[in-house]
Amino acid sequence: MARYELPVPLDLYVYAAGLVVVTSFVVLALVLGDQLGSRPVPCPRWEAPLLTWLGRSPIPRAAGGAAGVLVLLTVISTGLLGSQDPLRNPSEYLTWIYFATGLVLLSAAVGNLWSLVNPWAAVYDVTLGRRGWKPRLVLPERLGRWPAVGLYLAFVAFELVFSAANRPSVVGALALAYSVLTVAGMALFGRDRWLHRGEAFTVLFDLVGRFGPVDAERDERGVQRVWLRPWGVGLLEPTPAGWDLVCFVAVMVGAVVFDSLIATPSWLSFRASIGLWAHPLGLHAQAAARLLGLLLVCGSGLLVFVAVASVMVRFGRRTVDRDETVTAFALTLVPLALAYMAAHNYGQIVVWSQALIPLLVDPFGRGWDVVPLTGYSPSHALAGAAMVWYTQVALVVLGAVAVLALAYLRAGERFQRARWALLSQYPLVALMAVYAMTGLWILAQPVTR
Amino acid sequence: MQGAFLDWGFGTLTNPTDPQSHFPSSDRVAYDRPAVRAFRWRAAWVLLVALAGSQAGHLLIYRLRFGAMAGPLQESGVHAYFPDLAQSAASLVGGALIAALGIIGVARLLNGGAAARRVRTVSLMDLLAVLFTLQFAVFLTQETLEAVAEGLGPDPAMLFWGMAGQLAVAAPAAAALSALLSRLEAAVTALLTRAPRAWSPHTPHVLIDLPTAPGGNLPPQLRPGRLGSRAPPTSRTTSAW
Repeated sequence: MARYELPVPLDLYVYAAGLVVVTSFVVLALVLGDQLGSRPVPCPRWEAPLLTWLGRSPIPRAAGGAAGVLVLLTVISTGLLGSQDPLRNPSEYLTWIYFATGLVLLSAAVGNLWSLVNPWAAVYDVTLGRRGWKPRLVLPERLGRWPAVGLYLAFVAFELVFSAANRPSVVGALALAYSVLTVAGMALFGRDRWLHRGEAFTVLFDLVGRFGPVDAERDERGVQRVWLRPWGVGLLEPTPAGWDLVCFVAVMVGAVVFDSLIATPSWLSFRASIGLWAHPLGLHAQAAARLLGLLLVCGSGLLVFVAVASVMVRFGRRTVDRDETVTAFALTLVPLALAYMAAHNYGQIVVWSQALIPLLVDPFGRGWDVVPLTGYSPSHALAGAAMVWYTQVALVVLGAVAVLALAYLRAGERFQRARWALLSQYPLVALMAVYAMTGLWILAQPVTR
Repeated sequence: MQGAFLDWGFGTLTNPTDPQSHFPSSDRVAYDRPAVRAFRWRAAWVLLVALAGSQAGHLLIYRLRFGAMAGPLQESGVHAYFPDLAQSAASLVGGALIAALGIIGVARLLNGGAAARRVRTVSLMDLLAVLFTLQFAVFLTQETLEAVAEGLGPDPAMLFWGMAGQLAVAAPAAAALSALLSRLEAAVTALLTRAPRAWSPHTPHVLIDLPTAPGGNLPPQLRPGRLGSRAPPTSRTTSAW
């Protein structure tokens, strides 16, 4: 893709993004400033009869589970048995584009789709669940969601650190190993307990689904009802406090920021400058450097957020449970991760996702030609350089503004005085302005000239 | 709502008698004067250590990045201010540390050699987060201003080097500061607890503490009953000077 020739210097875009974030906060303060109170922030929601009917029906879950199992089997089989050229193997596209990016963003847009298509839950339900299997062990409460945090960090590290992520056989083998681990975890510790505390993607999609517009809950009789709500307000619902959740969000944000940074002069220059230190590691030098970079970005992001949250609690002038408050504000960062993921992966989603189509008729690279699609090439209609750039600008700014809106509502609920809620937000406004400006500069590096 | 926007929230910082402050005392944080005073002292310590830490991080980063050339590089050109700044920051921290250790020592001495009971008042995670953020911000600002003064763009590698170097300094600094603050605050509390009883002009101070048991072996003229029958003042007490 050709780079976009900016009509004005990049600096102007960057400063304008910061100014828009600050100005948006002023508007938010005027509109939301009287949203105060000790009860959870009230948000409008509307019952969706059609979705309620679908939610109570076993058909969507059965169909979704079957689709999820089919995709999982495709990833494993084509990864292990298909072409080892990553551009010609469906497992690469299904894993890194359709699952890790596409399904996440789609769930943010329409609701938690993972609860329908989770292949491991489907396998458990059809096998052990049907026999009334009882868990054998108890997962200690003090572990919280830390197993899921560790596994998610391992997943993003595999994606961003190791060149093996481009080897279909490794992707297939790891998908198989993770399947065994997950089903074993459900069998040992209980289906829901393992899924919601040890299975990385269930925790991820739980968070993403909270941003989505669909809210499903069971009433006192256990009957499911489905509601529609504005995007993002699900992140304001009460959540048990925990540094595990804060770290999970930090990894979500840090991973997508690092993914963008590795294409910039900042990373390339740093990698060159630590060449002397990494040289003794030989072939593993690049992976070690990337792992260090990923941990630095995630760790730094976490520490900066904790510092800002501590100042926010201080400015809030009210005695609050600190861990609970920090967790609550951490959830408001999810839109930032989603917006940045969409911005950074825009080209992948609209262009590279199409490359899967011809591979579906020849998944193992055997030269099958059942449907004549061999001449198919992806369309770049939605991926012109200008469109990519301005879409990224809009997404980054909207993400920062969404964070400020949610955080302001949360502050009104926590600190219960208009003036204190307002004062508590200034550190976050500064952080979001810096983040929008820095994020835009990073995204501009490979896209603009 | 209108009142909040007359000052955009800053009234609560400058006006402790803000009418909105009349809420249940269990909610109050900022209007407890000793707590506010303690918070300001902690903030001063954090700022001081962050300034010194950022310069220590600067030294570490340049040393790792440029090796033997780090020294001459940091003393010349636009970096010429650096040795004086680093030395000044180190001196300030050193002086504050000596004063703090002195206070801790005096408190221990007055307590008969035993350390005052420590209470951790600041979370280590919070300290680490604030120190790292301040140090990283100072470092990036320094590098940017130096680059602008040289007429060049900032060194792009300094973003990652800054994270690594400042984190390496902030972690031990936070641990040390946390330990020091808990001991220092305990010592100050112990000293302030002892001082009013020792030096108040209005508190009767017993100079000679004689046994007061009625069956004790006091001479008759010093037994409490005898003393009590005489007109004040008694010979056993005197006001402190």
